Amino acid sequence: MRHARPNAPLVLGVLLLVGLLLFLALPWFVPVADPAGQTLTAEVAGTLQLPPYGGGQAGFLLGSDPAGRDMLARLVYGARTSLLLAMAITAIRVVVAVPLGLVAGWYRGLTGRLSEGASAMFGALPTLILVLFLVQSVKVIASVEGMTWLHMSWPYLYVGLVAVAGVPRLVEHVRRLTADLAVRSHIEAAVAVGAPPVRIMARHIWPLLRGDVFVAATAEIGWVLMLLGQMAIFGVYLGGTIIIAQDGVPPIIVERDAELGAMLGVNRHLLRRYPEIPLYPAAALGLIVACFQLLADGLRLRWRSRG
Amino acid sequence: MPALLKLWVRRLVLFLVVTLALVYLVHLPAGVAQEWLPDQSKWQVFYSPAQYWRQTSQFWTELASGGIVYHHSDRHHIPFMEVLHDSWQNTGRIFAMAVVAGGFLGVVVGSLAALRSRVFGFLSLLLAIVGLSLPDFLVVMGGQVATLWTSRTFGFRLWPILADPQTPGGWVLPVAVLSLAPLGYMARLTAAALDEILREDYIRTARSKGLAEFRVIFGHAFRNALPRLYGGLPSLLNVVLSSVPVVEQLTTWPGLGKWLVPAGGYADFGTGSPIWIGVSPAMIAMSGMTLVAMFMVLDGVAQSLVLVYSRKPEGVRA
Repeated sequence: MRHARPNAPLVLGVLLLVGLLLFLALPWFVPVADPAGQTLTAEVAGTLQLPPYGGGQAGFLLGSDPAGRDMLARLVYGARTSLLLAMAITAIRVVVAVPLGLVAGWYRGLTGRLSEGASAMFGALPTLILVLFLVQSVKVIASVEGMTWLHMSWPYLYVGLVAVAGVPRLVEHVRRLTADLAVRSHIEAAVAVGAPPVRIMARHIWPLLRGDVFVAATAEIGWVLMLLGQMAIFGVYLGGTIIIAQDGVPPIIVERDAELGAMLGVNRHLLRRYPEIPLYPAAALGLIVACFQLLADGLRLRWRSRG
Repeated sequence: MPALLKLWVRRLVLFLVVTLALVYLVHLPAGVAQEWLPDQSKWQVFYSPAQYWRQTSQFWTELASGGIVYHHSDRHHIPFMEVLHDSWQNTGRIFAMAVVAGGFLGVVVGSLAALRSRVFGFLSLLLAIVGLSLPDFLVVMGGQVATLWTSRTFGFRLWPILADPQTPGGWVLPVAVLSLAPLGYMARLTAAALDEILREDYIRTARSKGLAEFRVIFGHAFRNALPRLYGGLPSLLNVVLSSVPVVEQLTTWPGLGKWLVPAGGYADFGTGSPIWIGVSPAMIAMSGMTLVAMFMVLDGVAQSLVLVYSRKPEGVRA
């Protein structure tokens, strides 16, 4: 008798998810500092010091950033923001891609070819490069004085552009699944008794498709978070920077908002002097990405083994 | 072969369409213009569609004549084609090395995992998790912090923090990081393909005849697993090529990744025609076109392999 192998990706993914949820809920159980609150001087080992403070110094468990803000608090609130951002982008992709994919897969013909063509065009460049070109080109224009409306709507535009770049691939995924399902006997029977296409898609195809879409959406959250981190490496992130100037000290540029991508992108140049400052947000982002990738992988394995 | 020809014609058309879209997209910042307002004593920054079209037309002219120039802030000018020539070769080298080394090791580990070895099975799973689930930037930064730590604690570096194509040690970190994804991907794909094939009747027959497990796997099963491995190549190339710019940026590898982000802006030297100092939209468009071409060719080769190996032999009925 052949024993079923343990689904390691699912087990690891669930463990990471539980850890992530506990981490995100930390402010509800223990007092966590204000992520924007600054400590500009603190007594460390009998001497007055300027930030950044190391782990355990001046009451900061994981240390502080160069502006004297609590790293743990920024990681918790940053993870919440990044996750919310990734989920919003994924939700837009799914809401747009699923109906389009269903229609393209059902009607085939021109809509099917359009879906294939758009997917091939958007897939001709690695996603990072495509999104980077899209976002940075629009960002430069948004910084022009007369483009106030573009500047004001920049966060929404950023979310929209990142979302749009992933839509064609997802449409193509749903189209292929729909086209495969459309030739099944119970679907052909529904066509034969005269059921309208919308009803067939909603009542017969979607129930068979939703598991796959759920897995794809789970993986997509991971990909989006990875993309946010990669774009941050190129200096493209949500939220601006602030310059902190003090007498006798060179000015410091820090990210304004607690968001993991921004925390990574702005501080990555500090890797040699203060490795933990960029490494913490990178590790947090990396572990969340791994969590969603493993969950998607594990769910795919589980459902495949069940047939 | 009509199918192969069709594939490459479609790729050529796709390349032309994507290139056009890319050039007009990355030139959008070139339309940002400024004008001195003497009555208000300040510069007014505005968007000029006329300047955008002028810069885009100039790009096509300069591309045809090979005259795109990289203007340094110190008024030092270099023909960009020379810079690009070195950059794409550096990117190509690191990419090829990562795909070949990672892919080969992945196939070996995956095959050994299929031998029902617990150690290699675990290794294959671990590599798949690390290589495919952990983001490239975390692995690079982890590698840099690890070498910083050994340097500060024990006085030796595992590898240089920043990459350098001139020294062998300078290749270690970028190649190792880029190899992880193909290693994990191929290990998983090979193990899964072999696992399925090893349950076939002809494998059972080979085993019952007393053939060594090693010969069963590499002499019989592996040959039939090849089409599935080729089928995974397009996704593999996409994953690695996506990571290349990030790894180059973090390790300062002198490849195409350096030319993908606009830097600097227009400067007027009193000639009446301002020039872009730093990384201009024209340079980004050229680098982007080179990356698209690289990806199209490599992906096309991978797709061709899939097409050739997925065909049924002549005389076999469906």
